[in-house]
Amino acid sequence: MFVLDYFPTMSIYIKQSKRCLGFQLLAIVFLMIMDETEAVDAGNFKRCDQSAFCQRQRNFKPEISPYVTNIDSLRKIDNSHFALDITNTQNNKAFVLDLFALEDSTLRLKINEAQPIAERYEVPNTIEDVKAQNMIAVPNLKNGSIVFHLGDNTNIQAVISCSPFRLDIYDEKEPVFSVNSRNLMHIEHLRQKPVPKPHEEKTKPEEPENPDEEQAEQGENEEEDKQEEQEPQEEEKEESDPDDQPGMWEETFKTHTDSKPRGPESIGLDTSFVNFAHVYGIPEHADKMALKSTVGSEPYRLYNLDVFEYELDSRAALYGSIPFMIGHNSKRTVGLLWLNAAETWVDVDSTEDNKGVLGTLFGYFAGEEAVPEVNVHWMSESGVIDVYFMLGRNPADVMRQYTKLTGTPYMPPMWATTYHQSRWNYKDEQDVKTVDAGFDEHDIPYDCLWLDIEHTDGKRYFTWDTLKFPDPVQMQNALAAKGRKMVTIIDPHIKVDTNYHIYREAQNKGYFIKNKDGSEFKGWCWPGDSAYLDLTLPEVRDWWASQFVPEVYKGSTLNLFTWNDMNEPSVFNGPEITMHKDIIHGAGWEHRHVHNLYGILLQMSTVKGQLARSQGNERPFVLSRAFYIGTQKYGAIWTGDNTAEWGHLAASVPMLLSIGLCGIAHSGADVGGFFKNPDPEMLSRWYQAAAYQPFFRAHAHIDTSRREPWLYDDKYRDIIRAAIRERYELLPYWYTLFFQAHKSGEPPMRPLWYEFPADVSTFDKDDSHMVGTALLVQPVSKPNTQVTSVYLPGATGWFDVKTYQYYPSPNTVSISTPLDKIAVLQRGGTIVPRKMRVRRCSALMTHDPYTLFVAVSPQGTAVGQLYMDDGHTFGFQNLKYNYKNLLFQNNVLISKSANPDASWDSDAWLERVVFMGVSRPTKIEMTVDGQVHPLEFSYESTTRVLTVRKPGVKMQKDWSIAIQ
Amino acid sequence: MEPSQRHVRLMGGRSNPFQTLFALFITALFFMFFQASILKNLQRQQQMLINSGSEVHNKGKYSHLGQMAVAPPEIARSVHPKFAQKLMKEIGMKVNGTLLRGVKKEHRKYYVPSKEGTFTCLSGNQTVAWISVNNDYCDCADGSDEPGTSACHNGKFYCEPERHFLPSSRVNDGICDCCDGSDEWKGVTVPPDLELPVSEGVQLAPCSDTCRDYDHMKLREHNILKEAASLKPLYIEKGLGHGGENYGPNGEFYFLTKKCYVFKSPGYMYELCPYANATQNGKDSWLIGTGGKLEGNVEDGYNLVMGDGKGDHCPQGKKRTTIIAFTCGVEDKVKYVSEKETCVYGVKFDTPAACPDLETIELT
Repeated sequence: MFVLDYFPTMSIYIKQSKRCLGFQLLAIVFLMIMDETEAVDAGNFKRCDQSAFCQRQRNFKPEISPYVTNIDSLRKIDNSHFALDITNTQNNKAFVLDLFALEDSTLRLKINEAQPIAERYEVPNTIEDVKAQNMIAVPNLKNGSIVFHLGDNTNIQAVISCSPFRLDIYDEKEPVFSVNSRNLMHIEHLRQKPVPKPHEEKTKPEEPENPDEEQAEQGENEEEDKQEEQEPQEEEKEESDPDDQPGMWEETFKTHTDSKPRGPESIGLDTSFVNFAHVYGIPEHADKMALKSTVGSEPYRLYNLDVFEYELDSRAALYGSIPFMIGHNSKRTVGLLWLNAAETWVDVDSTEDNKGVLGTLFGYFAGEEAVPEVNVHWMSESGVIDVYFMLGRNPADVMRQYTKLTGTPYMPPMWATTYHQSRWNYKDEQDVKTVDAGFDEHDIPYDCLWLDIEHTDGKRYFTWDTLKFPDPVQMQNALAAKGRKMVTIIDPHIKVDTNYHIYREAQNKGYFIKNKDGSEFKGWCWPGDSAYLDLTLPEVRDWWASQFVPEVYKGSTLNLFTWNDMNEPSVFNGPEITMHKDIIHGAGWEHRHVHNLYGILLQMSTVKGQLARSQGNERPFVLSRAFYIGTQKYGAIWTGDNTAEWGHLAASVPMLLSIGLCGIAHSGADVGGFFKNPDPEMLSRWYQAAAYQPFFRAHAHIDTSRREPWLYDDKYRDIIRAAIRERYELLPYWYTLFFQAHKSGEPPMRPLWYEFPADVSTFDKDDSHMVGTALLVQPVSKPNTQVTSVYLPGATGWFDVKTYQYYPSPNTVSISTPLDKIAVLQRGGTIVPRKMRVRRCSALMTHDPYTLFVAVSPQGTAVGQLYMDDGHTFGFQNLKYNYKNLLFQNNVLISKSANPDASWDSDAWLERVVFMGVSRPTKIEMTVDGQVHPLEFSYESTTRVLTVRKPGVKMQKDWSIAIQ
Repeated sequence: MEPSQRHVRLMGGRSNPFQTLFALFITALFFMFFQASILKNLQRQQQMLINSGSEVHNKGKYSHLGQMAVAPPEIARSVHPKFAQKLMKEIGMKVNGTLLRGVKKEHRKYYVPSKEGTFTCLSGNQTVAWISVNNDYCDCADGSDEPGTSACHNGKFYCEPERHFLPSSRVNDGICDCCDGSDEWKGVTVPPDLELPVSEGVQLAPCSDTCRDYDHMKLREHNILKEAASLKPLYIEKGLGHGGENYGPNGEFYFLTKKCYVFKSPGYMYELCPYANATQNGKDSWLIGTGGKLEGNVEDGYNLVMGDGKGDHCPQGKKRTTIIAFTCGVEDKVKYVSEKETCVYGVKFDTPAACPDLETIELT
């Protein structure tokens, strides 16, 4: 019975780990019985029609919205905050609407029950302290609307129509957002569970006292029941009971029953992006970057799940969830955040329509011609309606607005931006030593070696398998002595074992998540029976953070960093391989309310632990698999367990672009694919692609063949080495981009439209991408691709970074991409800093000189920036950095500190400057500290490349180089 | 540390005056010999230039619009015999005012300025200004103008006492890679704020001279190699008649079929019977390899792949395979076993059978 119950999850468990205690034989037996299914068993995960609330919300389609407000209820809470009452006319339930004006063209709409019978969940720790801006409200009694004018952004107006309720937001009189214009707003109010049998004595205190209300509720129910035609027989008696729609009070999926003690509490809202045909975001899905219409198919799902061998072209949920969406057209970019931590489904309906939304507007828009529009229907299982509207107007504005709200990306230590070597598993200290030596022997740089779960004593995190790793400190020091780092995996499931100090301590303190009956929740994960920390409690997070000091985490050093895996959380025998929704967390909330927050809470606590061990001096590094709104503040993420297939290599680009647009700057995909064995061509192409993605780590499943680069023929080893070296050469550029992300939220890896917002042909492009403003990268994701067709936007031309060949633009060009090359082009008008002396690891490149690559635009100009600091402390917060603005115009290249008060002393100097697209000069002079020196140069007339030799100036100085 | 100081110290800065004198004498002898050979070379080169009358191509690739930090030495312009002597003194020691580092002794003859003050890259198809040699800027496409710096991505630094090349990425990176510390001549140190830990086998600049240890180690290795190789004929004898039959060209691995070898790793006990079977014994017992196919050669090393498909099978349907990598050693001994990937076991195995012939060792 037990085995049958857990059969599907069991098989996953077994397929992922051949090392689990006692399961080895079982695994073999099972696998002999079972057919090997190669892809995800989609049946393990819910479709919308298997999720009661998704069905109820999706089927809620009234002709007219039952929600109304009235002007009389308008009240000013403060200068930036107004409130209104809203009533559901079908059941007379009362709600409160709050409208807030925030700094930087941002509005917040919140709708909650006026007097819920219990508190509704509101997401904590997610929204930063943001400033408010003044707002005035002008009621218009004639047409029953209220116009809100923002103080700082007078172009922006919000208009609330009263009956039925809707909200329209305008920028320069053009409609941008429209809320409830599709009448899909639907808040299931909290209610008492109906008593099952009407025959019982009617002495319950919970009897609704208002007969009108009861009637209204019945009305609502009847309407909904029309859509629920399939359950007539048993429900017949209670048809009139509004509290007893299918799945409201209990729901069963596969073998798991969700008891739903609070009953229905889902929320739904439609938000239209008016005048937009393209929306992006809401990761994580293995799908295209531009969101597709979900009409007639599955909605996008946001519910952090550990999906085994996930499928491509799917809207199914994956490891992370960020309910943030960006709308973009050739004039404007806007953002919308749906603040919710519960399971969420999102329907996207793109239409060209001038009737629906715009037809009823108040003269702001004379909708004659068809206007594209994306209608988005947000459906969450619980919580309150809490929506942030960001009015842009360009892509960088939206990223700034979004990261003001949710936090800017962390500043990674330099080494974390380099190449990482991982595998499940480097087996023992000898293995680590051999792999480390292999990189040196083959002169391939790397900065960090990773240890997966097998390094522990029986999957007890914070411990070591002392047989295989008898001296972990010595092992870490051997790597760290050369400037390298190590990462160990630390997961949130804790092996049930009273001899295990982490378990014992957490158990004594009552820090584990408990079942409904108060007993400790136990689920299966890597160690077998596991307990799960209740990270929603601050004291649990503090305790977790205290585990990272070397005195407590035995065998760790300050050069050891952390990887948080399985933090969706993954529960092998749980519903959908995760935790039961009706489990109660410490503060009284059910798991359903907080599910998507669990992973980020682990990463946040781990970061806190790393900060504590260096008294806040050293920058932490924590990689997480699960993610949520604000993950960017804490560290990096990766796209989980992908597969060694060309399709997965291709999918890494749109997936990482979507993640980047939702604020997470540091993201990557396992190089080579986690499952299966890549052939050497695929692996080479994967390295070439990933060298231009923010987080660059090779990783592989335990059942795959070893893949260290030197295990392949020299030809492939050399290509892989070249790809990794390209990454190291570009570290100054990447590091500058990470600093810029940290300051203003701009993703280092970004879609073409981000840089060319008016070029409509880029809006769907997700097979190529930008790195910063300067580099366009189009990876090869098909075998035997000798030539790649590349679309080059903009009017300033592009230079191939390897051949210096110039391509005028906009244009689609064919670029030769033999096995040792992918299309990487530098945009005319940009300056890219590199370090051409690639060492064993980044720490050893600190003093090395820079080369500037200046791609001159047809107008004869170029701009760029260079950021430098010590690479590992928080000194940069105290002005210990150099941030140089680089500008080429009128034949003079100028480097000038953006902030003259900031300075970090460095020996690094300027080795050469390569100008692309210039004429042969007669003379070149450099000016530093008022002194003028002539410089040597060489010129290639075929490519029009000028190389200025050895200016020699310290990079932190201000200087200029004049070309005559 | 100043390079010149290091140089002095390396060249015999010892306290015993007798030793010092002796060292000076030897050095003087060496110089005389060296000067003579260089002079010969120089004359030959000049003669060749005169004879051919060829223009060095790529000349003036860089327009010399001004004097850089170091002026090209006068002597490079026209090699007057008087100056040539001075130059000769410095050849092998100094170029452009600093030591000519990273060049193998027998290559030093190429690091001579032409009459025009140029240097011909070792590839022979590019000529650069003589001042470009070891001036911390890469001019030769083959990296040969910067043997002593890290400027060329494809450069090589010759570590004289260890008699091998280092990639130029190791030069002046703050880590001592050559036992005499010559790769860290510039005194670059790893940023102290990184607080890199101390670890055996990794020495941070400023470097101390560990060549004595290195030499000892090499000598020890060499002696072991010799001793091991001297045992190889026994193995060949035992394998008489099995040459070329999957037991090595002379049947030297045949002897290993006669015995089984035990290795205790912390978690398991392995029993390896080369060419027959290999087992892993722990809580469970697995047949991890059967049969044996010898691959490789004496230069690159021999591997015995024990995976004829009769080993215990794995959950994914493949069969367990053991790969024994043989290295030359005095006795037949398993050094290390690890399951390097699922169901593939890597074994390091010392045996005289894997040794090169004694004669080839003695030649080195």
